[in-house]
Amino acid sequence: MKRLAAGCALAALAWGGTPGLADPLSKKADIDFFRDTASRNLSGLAARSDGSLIGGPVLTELAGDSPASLLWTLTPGAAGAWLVGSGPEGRIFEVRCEAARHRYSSREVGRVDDAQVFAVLRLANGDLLAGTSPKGLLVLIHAGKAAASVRLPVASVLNLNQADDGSVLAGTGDPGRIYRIDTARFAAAGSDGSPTADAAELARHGITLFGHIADRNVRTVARRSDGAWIVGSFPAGNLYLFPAAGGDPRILEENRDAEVTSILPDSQQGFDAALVFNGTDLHGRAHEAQSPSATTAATGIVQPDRFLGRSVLVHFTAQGFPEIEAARSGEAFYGLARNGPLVLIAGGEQGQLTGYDPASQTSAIFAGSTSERLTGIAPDPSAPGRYVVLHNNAPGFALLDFSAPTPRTAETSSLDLGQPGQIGAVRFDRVRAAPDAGLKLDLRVSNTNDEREGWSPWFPLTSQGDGWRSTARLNGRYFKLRITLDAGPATAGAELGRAAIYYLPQNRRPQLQEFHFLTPNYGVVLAGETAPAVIETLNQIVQGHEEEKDKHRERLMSSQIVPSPGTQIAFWNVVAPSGDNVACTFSIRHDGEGPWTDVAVDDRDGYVSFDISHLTEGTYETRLIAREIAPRPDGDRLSGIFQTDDLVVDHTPPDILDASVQRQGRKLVVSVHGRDAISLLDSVEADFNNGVKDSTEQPTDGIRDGREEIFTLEEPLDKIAGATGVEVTLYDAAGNAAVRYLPIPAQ
Amino acid sequence: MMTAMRRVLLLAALSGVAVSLLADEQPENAPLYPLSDLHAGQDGTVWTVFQGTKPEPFHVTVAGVVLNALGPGKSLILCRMTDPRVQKMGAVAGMSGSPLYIDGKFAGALSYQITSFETEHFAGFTPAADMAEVGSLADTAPVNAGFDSATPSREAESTPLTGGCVPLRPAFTLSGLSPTVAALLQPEFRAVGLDSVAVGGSGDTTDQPAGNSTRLQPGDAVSAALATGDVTLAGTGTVSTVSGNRIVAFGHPMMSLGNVQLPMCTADIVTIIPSQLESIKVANTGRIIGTVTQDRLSAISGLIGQAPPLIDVTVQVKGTKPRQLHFRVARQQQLSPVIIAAGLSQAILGSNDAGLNNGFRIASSIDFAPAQNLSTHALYAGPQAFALGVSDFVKGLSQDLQNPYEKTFPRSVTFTVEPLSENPDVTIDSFQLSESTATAGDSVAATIGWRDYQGDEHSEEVRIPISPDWVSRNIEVVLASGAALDELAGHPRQVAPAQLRSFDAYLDAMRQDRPTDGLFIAVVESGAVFSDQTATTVELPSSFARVAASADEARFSSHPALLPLWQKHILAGKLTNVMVRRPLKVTE
Repeated sequence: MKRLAAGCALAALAWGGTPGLADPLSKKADIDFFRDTASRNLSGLAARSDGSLIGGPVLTELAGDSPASLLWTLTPGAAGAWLVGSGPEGRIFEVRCEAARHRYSSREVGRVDDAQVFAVLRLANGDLLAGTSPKGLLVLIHAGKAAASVRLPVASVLNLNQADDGSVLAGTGDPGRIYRIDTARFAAAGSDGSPTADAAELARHGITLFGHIADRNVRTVARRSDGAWIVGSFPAGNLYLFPAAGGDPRILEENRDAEVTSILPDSQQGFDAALVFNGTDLHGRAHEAQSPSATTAATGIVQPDRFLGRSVLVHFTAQGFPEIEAARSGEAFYGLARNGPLVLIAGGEQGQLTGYDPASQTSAIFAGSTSERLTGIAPDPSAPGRYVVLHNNAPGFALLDFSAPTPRTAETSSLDLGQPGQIGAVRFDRVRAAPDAGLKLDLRVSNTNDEREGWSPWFPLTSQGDGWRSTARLNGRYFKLRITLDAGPATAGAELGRAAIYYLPQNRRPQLQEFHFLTPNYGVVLAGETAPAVIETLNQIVQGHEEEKDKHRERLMSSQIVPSPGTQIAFWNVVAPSGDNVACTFSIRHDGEGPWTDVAVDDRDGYVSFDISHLTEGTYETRLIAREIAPRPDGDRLSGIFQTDDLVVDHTPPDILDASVQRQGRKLVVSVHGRDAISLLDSVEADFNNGVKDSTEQPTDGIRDGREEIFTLEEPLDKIAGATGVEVTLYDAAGNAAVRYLPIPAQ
Repeated sequence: MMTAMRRVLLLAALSGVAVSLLADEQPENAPLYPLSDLHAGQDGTVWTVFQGTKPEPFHVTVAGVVLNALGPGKSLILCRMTDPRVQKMGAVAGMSGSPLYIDGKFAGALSYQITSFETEHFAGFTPAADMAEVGSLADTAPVNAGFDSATPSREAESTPLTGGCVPLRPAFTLSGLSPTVAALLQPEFRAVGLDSVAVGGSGDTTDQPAGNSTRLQPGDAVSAALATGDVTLAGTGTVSTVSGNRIVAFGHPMMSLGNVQLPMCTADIVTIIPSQLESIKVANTGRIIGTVTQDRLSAISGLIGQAPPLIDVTVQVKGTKPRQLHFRVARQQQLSPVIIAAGLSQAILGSNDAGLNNGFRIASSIDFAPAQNLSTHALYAGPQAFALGVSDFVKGLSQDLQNPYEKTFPRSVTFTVEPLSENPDVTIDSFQLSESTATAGDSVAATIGWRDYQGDEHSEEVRIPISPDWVSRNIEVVLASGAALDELAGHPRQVAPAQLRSFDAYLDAMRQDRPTDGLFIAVVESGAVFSDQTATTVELPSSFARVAASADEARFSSHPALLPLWQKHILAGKLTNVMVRRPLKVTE
C-alpha cells in the first residue's frame, strides 16, 4: 500500500497530477517559503527548510543614535548593559536597550589610542579590558581612563576570554597567538607605549604566552565545558583544541580560505562553529602579480563588501567527527547563540537571521534586519527568549523576541511564473493551528521584475473553502504573496505548508514552423500507431513522458513514400505555444481566381494527401488555417492564418526539342535539349541497350533555372561497349516525362 | 560779433593752457567720473611711469563707451591714444591700472589692449566705479593660507576676449632664473597660467619694516609678487587709486585668484620696449610694502603695510663650490610647487659649476607646523637626469604641498643638494640564490652582481636567515626597488584622496615610502593586507574587513599583497631598477 501511494505521488509529480492525459492549459508554480522568502521580510513567522512557514520570532529595530560607524563587540557589561567596542575612533560604549520604547541609549566608557576595538571584557572588579587593532594594544580601563596598557607584538587583539582562574586569554592576529593575562599584575605594571616582544618585559606586565598557531589569526576562542579551549583561525579557518593549561594545540579540522567567526560550546563537551568560506582568493591574485603595476591601488583593490562565498554551521561532538548541519551560499555567518536546542545564526549580507534545530534536523529563516550584516547576537538575561542583536552597515541594535505579541507576517520575494498569466487560486499543502479567521493573504502582480515600479496594489485573497482566490482578475508574470497571521500565542504553533499558485498562461496564437509539398505522384503509407505511453519504470516517471503531439509528428515523418500517380502530399508543423490542441484547414485556389477550396478540414495529422489529376494545369495559391480546439474554451480560442507555398499542377510532359548522340574520342556524348510549358525541367535519364543507365540533373549552362534547358551526358566508350542505341527520358519538376530513342552512331 | 568771436577763441586758448597746466599735476583724491556722463571727443589724461618711479601724463581722447563689453554691467571705455609719447607703443603691458582723469575726475584705469598691429592705437579703460567696487571688497583670506581655492586662470592671461580685446598683462617679470631653467619649466609655468614671462630684475626685496609706511600715488608702478629674493617672479602694473593704505591697481585681474595674500612690492621701470604686437615695461621688483588681498575681474587691490606670510625656501648646494639660494614664495597650491622647483632647478642647472655632473642627492625637508615635517631623499644621475625628471619632481612636490585635508602651507622648505663622486647608475647583472630549498635555522646566500656606470663589476652576498616560521609557507625572494616593493607589499605610492582623512594621515602616507635609492632584497609571502588610511593590517579577518569596507569603502580596503617577512636595503646610494622573484621552499 505504501509503495502504491509513493508511485502515485511520483506520477502526479511527473504528469502534473493527471497521469495519462495531455498537459492541462493551466499551470502550477510551487512556493517554497524557505527558498522564496527573505529573512528581512519575515516577522513573527519563520521559513523552515521543508518550505513551510511556522511561528517564529519578531525582530524589532531599536531607535537611537549610533555611537560609532563600526560596532564590533556585544559583551555583557554592568547589569542590563552591553559593552560595545567600536571603530574607527577606538571608543568603547555602554549600551542599554529599552525594549518597551524600542530604543537604545549609549555612553562612552573608555577610549583607546587605536582605531578599532575588536575585543572588550568586563572584569570582576568592573574594570574593562580592551584589545585593539592595528596597534595590537591591550588596555585596562578604570573609571573611563586607561589605567594600564601594553602594545603586544601583534597587529590585532581579536578576542578576550575569562579563564576559570581569573586570568584572561587574549587571542591575537598577525601572528596568531594566545596570551594569558594576569589582570592584577597587568594593572599594576602601568602603561608602555612601545611594542615589545621580550617575554620578560611582557611577563612584567603579567602577560605570558598561552599558545600559538601557524595560521595568521586566532579569530575566535571559546571554552569547552570541560575547560579546554577551542580556537578558530583565519585565513585557513582551522579549528584547534588547546588544553586548559595551554601548550600545543591539536587540530580538530583543517580548512582553507575560511574564517571561523563564532564558536558556541554546548554542555556535552561539544560545540557548534560558524565557518565562512571566502569567495575571493586574495592570495592567488597576489601570486599572479608579475609587476608592481599589477597590484596598484587602482587595479588591485578587492573590496570585500560583496560576499561571494558560503558559510557552514559545523557541529563537533566531544569525541566524534565534525558534521555539517547547515550551509548557505552567498551568506556569511557572523554570530551564534542558543535558544533551547535551537542554534541561532546572525549573518549577512542581507540582514539574515537563521537557525538550525538539531532535533528535527531542519534549518529555518527567522525575521531579519534591514541592515546588511548582523554581526553579533547574545541572549538577554532579563527576558528569556529575547536576544540583543548587533548589526552593522548600518550600525545599530535590534531585539529578537520569540514571544513578542505582534502580528506574524511573511512576504515572498518577487516570484516569476515564466510567462504572463491569469492568476488562479493559492493553495497550501497543509494549514495547522492557523484558523481561517486569523489568516490573511494578499497578492500583488507585475509584468516586470523591477522592484521599484510596475506593481499592482495588494489584492486580498479570500478563502472559499477550496483555496485562496482574488475576486479581481489578476494578470501578470511576477507576483508576491503576503501572509499575515493573528498575533499571540494561539498562532505560535501555526504551520503553513508549502504553497502553490495556479495560473492560466497567456494564450498565444498557433505558429507555423514548416510547410512542404512532396513531389507529385507520390503518396505515403502512414507508419503504424505506436503504443500509448505506459509508465513502466520510476525513471520514466521522473524523466517525464514524450509529448503526444511530438509522437504524432514522428509517426508522419517515419512514413514510407510510395509512387502514386496523381497524388499530391502537403505536410506541415504547427505549434501552439500555449500547449493547445490545434486543428488545421488546408485550402487551395487557382491563381487569383474564385473561392478557396478546402482540401483538408480541421486536420490534426499534420499532412494532407489529395488527388491533383483532375485539377486544371497552372499555379494554385494555398492557405493553412490553424485553430485552437478543445479543451480551450470556445470564446478564448485563437487561430492563425498562413499563406503557404504555391502548388503547381502540371500534367503535360516536356518537349524534347533536340537530342543527339556523338562519339568524341573515347567517350560518347548524349545531349538533350528540352522545354516544358509550365514547370522547370528536372533531369535527363539515359538508358543504353547494353543495360547501362545514367542520368544528370545539371544542365550544360550550369544553372537549372528554366523551363528550357540542355542536358549532356558523357559516357566512356568502354562502359557502353556493345550498345547500339540509347533511350533518353526528359523529366519536368512535376514528374512528367518525354522519351526518345537515339541510335548510337558507328565508329 | 567779431569781438565776441575773439573772446570765445581767447577763452578756448586760455582753457587749453589751463588744462595743460593741470595735466602736469595729478589730481588728488579725485572724485569718480560717472560712466553715463562720458561721451566721444572728451579729452583725458592718463598717468603712468615711463621710466624710473615718477608718473608722467599722456593724453587720450574718449572714443566712446562699449557697454557690457566684459559681461553684463561691465563696460569698457574706449580711448584713442592721441599723445605722441604713446603713438608708437600703444597700450603697454605694465601700464595696466594707469588712472584716466577727465575734468579732474577719476574716470577709469587703462586695462585692455584692443587689438594688435592697429594702424591707430586705442586702449580700453575699466570704468572707475568697477575699480571702486574691488577696493570696497572685504579681505577675507584665511590667516593660514595664502589663497582660497581658486585656480589660476590661463584665460585671463592670454585668451582674446570678444572682438580681439585682451587684458593688458601685468608686466610679469622673472629674475634669478637662467633662460635655460626658465625654458625647462615653461610647461609647468604655462600650466598654472604664467605662460609669458619677460625679463626683469629685482632690487632690495626685504620686507618693509612695520609702521614705516611707504606712500604710493596713482600712476606709480607696483608689483604683485609670487616670489621674492634670489628668485623673483612678479607682475608689475600701475596704481589706479589710493585711499588711505588701500590701493587699487591693474584694472583687470592678475590671475583671477579671488582672495589672495601676495606680497605687494615697489617697482622701478627700467624702460618701455615698444612693439607692434605688444609693448612691455621692463621693471625691477623692489621691496615688499604690503599685501595684495584681492585679484578680481576689474582690478587687484591691497593694503600697504603688513607683508603676507610666505614660504621660506632655501636651496643649499654642497661640494667644492658651495652656494645657497634663498627666496620666499607666495602660498598657493598650484603656483608654489612650480616656483619652488624653479629655484631648486636654478641651483642645480643654472651654474658654471660642474660639480654635480656625476650625480647628486637631494634631501628635501618641508616644515609645516611643529612636529609636522616631511623629509625625503632623491638621487639623480647628473643635471640632465634631473632636467628629464623635473616634471615628475614638480608633481611630487605638488603632491606634498597640495594636501586636501587641511588648510596648511609649509612654513619653510629646505633642499640640500649633495654632489656625488661617482655616477650612481648601476646595472644589475645577476641575482642568484645558493639554494632553492632551505632548512629552517640555516641561511641562504643571495648573490647580487652589478656593474657601475662605465665602471667595474661588483658583487655582494647577502645572507638570508631562514626562520622556522617560514616552514611550509608559500615564500619568494624578491629583489626590487623600494618603490616596486612598496607596491607589491600593498603600500602604493599613489593614494586616493578619499582614503585619507587627516593631514597627519597624509603626512604618514608620505613618510612610509621605502627609500628610492638602491634595492631591497626581501623574503615575501603571498597574502592580503587591510588598509585603514595609511595603517595596514596583514590578513585581517574578512568579516571585519567586509563590515569596515561597506561602511567606508574609500578609507578601508583589502589588497592582495606580497607580505615582507624579512628585508634588507642594499646598494644604498645607487640607482637601478630591477625586479627579480625567486621561489624559496623552506623545510624543517
